[in-house]
Amino acid sequence: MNADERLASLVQALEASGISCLVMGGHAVRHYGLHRYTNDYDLTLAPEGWDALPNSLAQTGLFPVGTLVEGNSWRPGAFRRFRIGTLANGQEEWLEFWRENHLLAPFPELYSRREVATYGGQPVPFLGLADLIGSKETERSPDWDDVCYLEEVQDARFQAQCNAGLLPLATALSELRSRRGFDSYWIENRFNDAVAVRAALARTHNPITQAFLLPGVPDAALGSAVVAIEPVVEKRLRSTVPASALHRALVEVVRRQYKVYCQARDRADKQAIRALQDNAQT
Amino acid sequence: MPLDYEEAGRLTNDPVSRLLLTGQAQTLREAEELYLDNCLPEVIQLLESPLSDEELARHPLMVMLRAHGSRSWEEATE
Repeated sequence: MNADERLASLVQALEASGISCLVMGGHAVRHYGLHRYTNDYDLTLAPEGWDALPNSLAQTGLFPVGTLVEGNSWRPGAFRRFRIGTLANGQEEWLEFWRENHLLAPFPELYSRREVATYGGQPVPFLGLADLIGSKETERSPDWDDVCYLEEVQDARFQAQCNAGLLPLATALSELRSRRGFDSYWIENRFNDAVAVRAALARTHNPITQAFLLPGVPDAALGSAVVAIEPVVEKRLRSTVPASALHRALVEVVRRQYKVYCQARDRADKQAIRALQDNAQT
Repeated sequence: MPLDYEEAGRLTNDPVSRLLLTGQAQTLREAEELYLDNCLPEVIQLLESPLSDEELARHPLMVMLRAHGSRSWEEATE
């Protein structure tokens, strides 16, 4: 049984015992098209399955007695990990469960947006693409490599839906995050529709999307964003030629600002958890 | 003789080289990423200067920002 089949069997077995879960992490990234080698299986779990998890896993029959060992968690109550075996190369295999974290919406919301696909020969529910991107906005640099790729996939999907008449242009543009996505819309002259660009700008809360769209409607007001674009950068975005070399550089300035903000937010979350644990021990 | 990182960092004014020479980054990509993550004050200074859009776009910092944009990593993963 390969890793994909093993994960699929596990998810099926958990669901058969009444525990809902969604695949996230490296296997979800693989599902969306980027090959990622991973020894770990990452899932987010319905809260009601949390306490009974060790028993539920044991009852799946997938792990011989003694091979399933719960490891230490740096975040008890929210994160559990189980060693499920050792690969031929000596590396340990881990099964990891999140109940909650600051990058994940509540489970019922995530579940309502799940994407089910055949994986390892069986239907498997994955974190929806936007939720997966959100879950990757951590302090770790490799996660941002995944974000870059996943944003391109998301843009391509929205553009395809838009071209098929299934999604208004303003909605699709309001999610624009990647340079490749920007170039695709640009080639199709989609930014000539100023009404749609203005509507997209009004709808988005992401500063990267704002930076892509603003030069096309320079008099438009910016809505609130997760992190506000620096005033000097915003001013230049309002005067620069759309799709020019400077426009593209300024988008990357804003992308950096957003990434640094998200990394700091994730770091602060981890530090707060550790501080709580330290206080509890003293 | 042990390497004096502080001394090595004084050998150049190039911020990326300095990150490498002082041991704050191990690879060129890491050094450039680290530099770009902290470049906002320098960008603001450039945008407040009298440089034209074309001159700004040709500035090495802006060129590096574009090169490290949302596509450049692809080559590294294939």
